[in-house]
Amino acid sequence: MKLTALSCQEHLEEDPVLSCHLLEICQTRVLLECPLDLSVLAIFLPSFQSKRKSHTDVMSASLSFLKENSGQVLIEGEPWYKTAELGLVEVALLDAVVVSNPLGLLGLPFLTKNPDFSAKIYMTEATAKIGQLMMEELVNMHAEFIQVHGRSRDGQLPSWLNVSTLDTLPAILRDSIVGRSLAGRSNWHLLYNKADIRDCMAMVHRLHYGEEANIDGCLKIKPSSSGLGIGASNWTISGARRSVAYIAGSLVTANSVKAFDFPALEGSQILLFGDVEFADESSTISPVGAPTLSSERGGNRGSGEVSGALRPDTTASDVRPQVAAVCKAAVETVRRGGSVLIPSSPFPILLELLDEMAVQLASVNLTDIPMKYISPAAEEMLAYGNTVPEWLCPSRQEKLYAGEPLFGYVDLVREEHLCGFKALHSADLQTVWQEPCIIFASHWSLRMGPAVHLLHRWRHNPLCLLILIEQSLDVELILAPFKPLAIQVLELPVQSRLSPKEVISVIQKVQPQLTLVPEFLLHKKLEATESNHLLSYRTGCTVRVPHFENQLEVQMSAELALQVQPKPVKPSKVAAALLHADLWSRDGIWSLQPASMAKCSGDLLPGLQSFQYRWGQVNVTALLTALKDRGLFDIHIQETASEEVGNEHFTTGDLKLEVETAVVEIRSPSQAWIEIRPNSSHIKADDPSLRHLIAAAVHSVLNSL
Amino acid sequence: MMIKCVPLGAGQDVGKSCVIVTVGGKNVMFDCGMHMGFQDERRYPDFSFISKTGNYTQAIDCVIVTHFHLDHIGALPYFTEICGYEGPIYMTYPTKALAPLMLEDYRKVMVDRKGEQEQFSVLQIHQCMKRVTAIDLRQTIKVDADLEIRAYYAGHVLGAAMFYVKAGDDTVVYTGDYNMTPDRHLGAAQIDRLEPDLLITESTYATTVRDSKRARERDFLKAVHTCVAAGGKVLIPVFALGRAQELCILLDEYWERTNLKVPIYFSAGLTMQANVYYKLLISWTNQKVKDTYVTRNTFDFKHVTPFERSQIDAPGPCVLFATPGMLSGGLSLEVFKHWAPSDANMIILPGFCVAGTVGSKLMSGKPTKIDIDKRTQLDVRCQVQHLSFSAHTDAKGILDLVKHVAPRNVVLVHGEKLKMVLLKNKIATDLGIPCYDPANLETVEVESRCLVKMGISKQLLKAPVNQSIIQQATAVLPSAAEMAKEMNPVALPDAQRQLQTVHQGQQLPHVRAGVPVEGVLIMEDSSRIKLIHPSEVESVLGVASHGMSFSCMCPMYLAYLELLSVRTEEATTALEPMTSSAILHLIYLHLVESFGEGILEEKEESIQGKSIHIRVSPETSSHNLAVAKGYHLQGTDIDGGGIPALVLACDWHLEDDALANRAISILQMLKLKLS
Repeated sequence: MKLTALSCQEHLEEDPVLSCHLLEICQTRVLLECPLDLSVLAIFLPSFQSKRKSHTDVMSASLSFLKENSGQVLIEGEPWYKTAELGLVEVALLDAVVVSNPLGLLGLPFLTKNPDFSAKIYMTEATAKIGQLMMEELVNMHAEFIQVHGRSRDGQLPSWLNVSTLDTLPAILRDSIVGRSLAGRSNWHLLYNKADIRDCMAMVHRLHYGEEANIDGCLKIKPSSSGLGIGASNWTISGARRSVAYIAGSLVTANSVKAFDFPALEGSQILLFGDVEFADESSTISPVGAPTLSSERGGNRGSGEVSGALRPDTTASDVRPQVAAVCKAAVETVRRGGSVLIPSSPFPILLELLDEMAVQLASVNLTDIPMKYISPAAEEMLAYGNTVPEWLCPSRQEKLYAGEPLFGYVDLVREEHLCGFKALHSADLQTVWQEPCIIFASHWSLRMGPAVHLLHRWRHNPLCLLILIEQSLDVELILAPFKPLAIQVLELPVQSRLSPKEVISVIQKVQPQLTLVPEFLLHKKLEATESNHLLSYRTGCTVRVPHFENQLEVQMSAELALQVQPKPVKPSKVAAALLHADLWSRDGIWSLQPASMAKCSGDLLPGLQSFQYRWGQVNVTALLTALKDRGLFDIHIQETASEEVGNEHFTTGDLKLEVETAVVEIRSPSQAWIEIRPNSSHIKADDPSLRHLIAAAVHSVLNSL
Repeated sequence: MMIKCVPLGAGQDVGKSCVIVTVGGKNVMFDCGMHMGFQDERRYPDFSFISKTGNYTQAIDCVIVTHFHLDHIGALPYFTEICGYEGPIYMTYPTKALAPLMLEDYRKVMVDRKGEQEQFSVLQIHQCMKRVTAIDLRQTIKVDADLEIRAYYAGHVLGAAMFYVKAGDDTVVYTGDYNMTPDRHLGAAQIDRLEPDLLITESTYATTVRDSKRARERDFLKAVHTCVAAGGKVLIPVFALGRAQELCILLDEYWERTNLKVPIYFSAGLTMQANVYYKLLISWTNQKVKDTYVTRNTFDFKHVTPFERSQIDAPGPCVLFATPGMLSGGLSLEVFKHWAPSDANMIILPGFCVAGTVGSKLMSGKPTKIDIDKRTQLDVRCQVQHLSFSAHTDAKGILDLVKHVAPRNVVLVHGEKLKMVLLKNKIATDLGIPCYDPANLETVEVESRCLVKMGISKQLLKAPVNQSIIQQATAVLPSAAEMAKEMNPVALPDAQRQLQTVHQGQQLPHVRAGVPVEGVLIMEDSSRIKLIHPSEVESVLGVASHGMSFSCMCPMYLAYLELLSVRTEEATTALEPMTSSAILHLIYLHLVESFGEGILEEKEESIQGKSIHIRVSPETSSHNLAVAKGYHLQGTDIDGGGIPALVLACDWHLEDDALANRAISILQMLKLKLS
């Protein structure tokens, strides 16, 4: 088994990268996830600001595509999208792609576009649905750039990706484009289109939690809930000799979706952590406002108890603390008469946010504050959220049994307090627009989509609030094109990975024989666990996982079992039998069936049948009797006490030993000799039938199966 | 091990489905239904069969309910709350969500309208449902260490599932009710080729082969339209869930298309409420409904409004869906009493009616008078239409399913006795699968596969690939290829390609199908059975193997060699000048001719291959050649007392005996060819 990390965090201080691995197991190549690194979209200028004079050109005319704003250098032009190191994957040899959540799906069309691609793709039904929505959302919003810049010609690299230009770029920019080596250039792609998405999704095998799928009869894979979001999964991947539990983006804390399924992972030999949080536990909820920005911290603290007291069911609810904090901040703002903008994506926590927001608004009697979700995926996502009881936590499933909507926001939609809109310029939206309001809008990168325009509208209004919920954004860079800002900015990243502490608890619960973790985790965080069971990996390197001694198993059909008649073997206390059978392999299970070949084409395979395992020594007296039984009477014995063997070429040179040899000579019907040595006998006879007769006699006085 | 199957209900009958299967030492109850045709204790399955002491929790390992129809779930609250079963119960999410509606509806009909004694209370229904574990399709659930269950889509009603049960190595599939053709809101049944030991299938339409669905729908719409156009009222008795939604979709779409204004009513409450559930459970419907729910939810009906009891005698045409189906009581029967006497009206029975219900009386022949109960007799003048809208598969569908699932045995339940016999015979003769149709409480026993599990050594698993290459390369392939050539000239390249793929995959233990292996099976005292490679026997059993080898002399006369030299082109130089190595080469070429390349090779003055060695015997001197030539020229070298030109010494090990014998016989064959 081999694991190649195509993308993972290298160091604690580095920006997180979505995980992507190539797993070679039981002769099958499986790609785990195919994500896009959308955080690097930040190096591009937002679509609507392009071709405006507000930014200063930097440097020479040859780098005219670079614009400077608030000390940050950005690229003006149609953005490209960055995948993991897919260059290390031989696409034609890939057997399967496993996608754990919608984020791991976003880069897949780049792979499926390749004509050599023939692998099977597996994901849960919900991941496929939401992932497709997100890909279409991306393509829709990207269209803004095409409107401004025109469509790039196929096969032409943008100027910022040229090798010659790269050297002249500012170092920070160059690093985000290519990383440390120029090889990173091949990870950039021009965005796919809707037809690519359709073709890609047509190849997808959609699974339910706990549904087993088979890859070419060699591997069984099974998704189980990871707790991250609707349909998000971890996987057990098992072949005849290996079993791996693969932990993708997961949450062990309770929330609205099905909880992390530990029992499903138990019994796996190897535990593979794909996506792990690098931050310390303590920093998960702390809002880190940049020094130049006004922080919401103070205002929050005061209102915390109020809304907490108004919601006595807080402890029993499935709301994550970060979600509650986001909503609290938003409610405070609208109370003051400001509007709230939450750039967000459909996965993983949008529905929870909507739900909690409704609860908190209701608790302070602000139900008349309109909430809007503006995204190309809005309407479908809102409708879809109410049809997924199978993927939710028990308390929400109870709502199904009670015949209630699964999420509280559904009622808001019916009462028209919450509306979904495809785009900012929808005619319907214009007519119902009213401020203050709470807007959830895409895209969280703040480079395209309605969120960009809304931020532009409200950026000078100190009453308004922008809440950034994505993890580890470079806030300075992201907000640069919008400066100067008066709007308040609150950073409340919502956890979407396991923390190192949680990793340890997962290891303790699953009890694998070996654990694979990203390298940084090994050095810094996991000193507490027994490190002899840990292996670490890093981007671009392949880790070989040693074999375990394990008992292989085969199933024998009853029909065959009845044919086998084991005989006791003298020196040891066992019974043994020679077995001829057909070996079948199906779904990673080996089975033995009665031999069909030997029966129908017996003469063709005489070697197979005549091979009989023998042991023991030939007793000359017994041999004489056996020969006589077969009608051979003219027998003479020449006892040779010792003789130098080795002149026969088949007893190889190193066997020139003094051995006891007896020679039995047979004179009729024709001449033959039997040379008997302790561990072998040699029959010399020219007549084939006599030869076989003697062989049978010798065989009969030996032990055999 | 034997698998036992006993129907407690629905054996040669429809109603109170309940089948107990003993598989791999586990007792599983499939469905727990009630009989709509009986009002006494016969309505429930005879649970006393399971346990005389009444300790059902111990006797049954799990209860599986396939769908929410009362004849499949009706007795569940009774079984859990009154009989006291406390073990696990499994059903799909929609079944768990919708079953309480059905049970509550039934309870109300029985208690409120018929004034019967309550069988179970509302509270008991809810307590019962709390014990249920909901499962998703195709999700493998471990009931305990040795018992696994998995649900497959059955299509019959929302959430209907077939169940696969695996206990140890024994497997059973229970279909529940299923539909092999998709309809307006549900997909067709989907199941894998599971090859279970036993398949228990419904057989409602054991002999019916239905015409196209489109025609049936057209007939239905035409009948309804004609009736309302003439001012008549149409009564469609349905169960609140299932067909009701299907027919509503059909009528709603038709009304929309034809712009009809005649009201369509739905007997209040329940169905409206049911539609809420259907909206939440969109993912269990068919693809078309799933694709359109964002823009328009199929279960938001435009033309359907709730029905008030006061409207029964209101004038004017209308269409009414009334519960329960089969006219077994409740509103549908009440409306029937009012509407049946008028010949302008129409009753449409859209599905199967259990024997004993008013519906089934209507369906048998064309009665003009119906006995509602012992006291009441009713004139029936209205038109009665029966349209097969039941979402049960027909006979062809059952056969298709059996073929697809490929079980080793089939048990038929949930059907009519006489028709089941016909289907049983058809399955047994056409498909060659043993088939049974037990009556209630009659036990069927079938044998399971009984797989024996054993350890296997890595060496043995790796062996077949290597072994098969050698074997195919030696004996099998040439002859097989010859055979193939004679029979089918195209087959040859295939065989070769196969060989190549085996070559490429040499290190791969992906043995796919039936590769012959030879191993030694070892049974130690109490420990597991293990299968090892013959070469491992020595170390495992602690014995020294005894090798056997052979040798023989094979005289070669000049006449043979001439024959060879004539046939072998390159030896035109005849036998001049002749050396023993030149002769050996001739012989080698001859052998290669029949063995093919790759097995034998020429090496160090000998021909070798595997353990076989063929050399010129040291006893042959160069003098022999000259003398032999003399005899040969006289023509007396073979039979006239002459001597062979040289003698070949052959030796080999027992393992290669067959190959060696073949080589020698090829050489000796030369003699025959001479004469």
